[in-house]
Amino acid sequence: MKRTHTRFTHRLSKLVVTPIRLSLLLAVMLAAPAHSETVGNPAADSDAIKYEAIELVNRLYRLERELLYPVHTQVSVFLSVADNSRVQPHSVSIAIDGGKVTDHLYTQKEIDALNTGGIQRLYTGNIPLGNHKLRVSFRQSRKDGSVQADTVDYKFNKDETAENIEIIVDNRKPPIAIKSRN
Amino acid sequence: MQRLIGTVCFALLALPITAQAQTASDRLLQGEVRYESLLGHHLDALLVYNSALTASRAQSMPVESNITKARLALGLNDTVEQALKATPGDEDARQSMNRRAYQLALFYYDSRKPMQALEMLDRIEGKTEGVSTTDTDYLRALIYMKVGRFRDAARILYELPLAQRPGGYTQYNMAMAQLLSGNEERGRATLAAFGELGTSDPDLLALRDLANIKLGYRYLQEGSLEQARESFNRVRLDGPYTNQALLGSGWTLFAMGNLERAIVSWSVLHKKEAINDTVIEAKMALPFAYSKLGAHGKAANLYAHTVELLESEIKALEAASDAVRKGELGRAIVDSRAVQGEDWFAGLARDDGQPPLYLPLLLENDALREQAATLHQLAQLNNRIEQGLVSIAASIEYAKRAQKNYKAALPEAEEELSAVYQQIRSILPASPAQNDQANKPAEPAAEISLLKNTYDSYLAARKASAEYIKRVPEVGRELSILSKQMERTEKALKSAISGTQKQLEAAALAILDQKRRQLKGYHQKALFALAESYDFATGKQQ
Repeated sequence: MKRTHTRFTHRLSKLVVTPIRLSLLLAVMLAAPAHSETVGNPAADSDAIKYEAIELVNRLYRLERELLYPVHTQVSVFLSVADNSRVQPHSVSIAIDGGKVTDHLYTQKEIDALNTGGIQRLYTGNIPLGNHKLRVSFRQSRKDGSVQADTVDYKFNKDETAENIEIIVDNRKPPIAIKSRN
Repeated sequence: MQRLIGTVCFALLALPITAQAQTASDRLLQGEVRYESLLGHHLDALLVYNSALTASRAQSMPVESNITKARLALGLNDTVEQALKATPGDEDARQSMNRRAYQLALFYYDSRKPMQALEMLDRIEGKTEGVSTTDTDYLRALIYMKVGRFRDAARILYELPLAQRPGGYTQYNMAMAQLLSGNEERGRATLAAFGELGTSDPDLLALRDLANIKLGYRYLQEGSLEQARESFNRVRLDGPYTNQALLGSGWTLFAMGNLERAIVSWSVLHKKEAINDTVIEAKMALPFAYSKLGAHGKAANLYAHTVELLESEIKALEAASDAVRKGELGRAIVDSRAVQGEDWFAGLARDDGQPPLYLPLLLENDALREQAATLHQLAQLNNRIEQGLVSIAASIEYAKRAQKNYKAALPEAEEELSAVYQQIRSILPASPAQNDQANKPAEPAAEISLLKNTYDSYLAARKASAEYIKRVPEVGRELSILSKQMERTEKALKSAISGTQKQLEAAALAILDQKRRQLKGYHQKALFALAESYDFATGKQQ
């Protein structure tokens, strides 16, 4: 709503205050039919609705994250490609404390996004405070067309702050590095 | 051109993250914004950016190009333009504003708003990382061509540094600017040089074919038939411009008096089923050539085939208009609401329904494409709002349960905490004298440390949980308010979707009707020609 209001006041500010414009504006207002308030500019109206909808979706996203993943139990796992490396990911699977939490098969578009600096959020969930084990199984295509499969375990301690873990994959050795990023 | 702009945009979107000192989690969030943006998930990119970052952190994030792209893709260009009105505080802010202005200029150029694009280019001051002078000059030249300043466009393109200019595209556009500014000789020379370019790049090969087509028709118009033939012959037989080359080549041979060879060229086109202006022209030209050769029977047969084809095409256009009137075009766009990014456009054209809605023809129209994009954006947002309303209900329920479960689990947790505390106390030395004993065993010390850590961890968890559970009812209330606002917005979105859909349908019907009238015109001509050929064939005319 705030944004919509800002846009509206911005539009009003465009109706500048020169006497000629003001008289023209008055003339137009007087000449308008009685029901003119119901006739809007569809393009401008749809813009205002878009702003409002994005604002609401944004608020919902923020509130739901706050409710569903409180920082003291929140754990997020990200996947990125190592600097100066070019990887052809095939699939990834992750388990926390022995239970599989997610897996993912890659499309070419996702591979390109990862190789140009994008970082994929693989998982967000909740775990209790204390020691945990993350297991990452990653498959990537080699240059000769074969598939290389690697599995790495990572132990971490969850404290009262949000836990961010980054899996860094590489086409060189070691193929998987895992780091806490808090 | 689109390819070049795509490359520049991609370069901007993939700018390295180097600017300010960042925390590790900031870097992850930037990477996530970039990932969603590169996938074309603009709304998600915007959500991650807006939700995960505080305003001050957001300003220092070097992902502004991705965010600008996301905002432009969602039609929020006003927001981007507003940000340009602030006074840049430092060098980073100035560069950031320049990048935004450049992206807006590209956006307005693509949206066929050249004057606004120029205004944005004029705002760029000084050097900017990610946007070179060649990029801005090239775009300026293209905009000048849109507004009819061909001489200025040709000059700018001519002066672009050879090493940095986008090879091929510059030459082609320069040739067009030269021709349109009246410098025929220079324009032809530039086109001819480009028409012989050696390359394996598929986009450049297509552009080279187009250059040869343009050159061929120019030579044909002035009667330089040999040069026209050579130009058409340089066009590949398996490229996107093969049809135009065959048609032009046929007319050149026809003008040279070589009717038999013209027939060979047009016969290839005559076999094609696709209906477009080039194929229709060939379907009319081929029987015309036969009648010139005196083969009136053959000409009559071919005209009859053309008449049949046109009739079936006119019927198909009428069926498409009916489908549009029944709302199928709007529905097809709304149904693709789950597809984010530019892919929905391609998907829509590929999955054209039955009867076909003539989407490639419709989407060629700038105004219709813009309306379709707006409808898609509105449908996409409505989809998110609908999903949001479902998930809000679940979240409110979750909030209630979280509170209930917390209250139920609290006594047990407190007991556990107390037990750990008692354990620590039982292990701790009872008096300072005991503490001073020299040969203190190592094991209890390790155990004490472990218990202390466990106890601290419990305390931290209890504090964090208490804070969280205190906040839960507030979140629940905020969600309830949000739910009501979303319901109102959902209604407004539905009404906007319906309005946009009606506008879109009116525009589509006008385009289909224009095409139908054009085909009817061809149909009339073909009918007359058929009657004439039939008369000649049956000896009624001498």
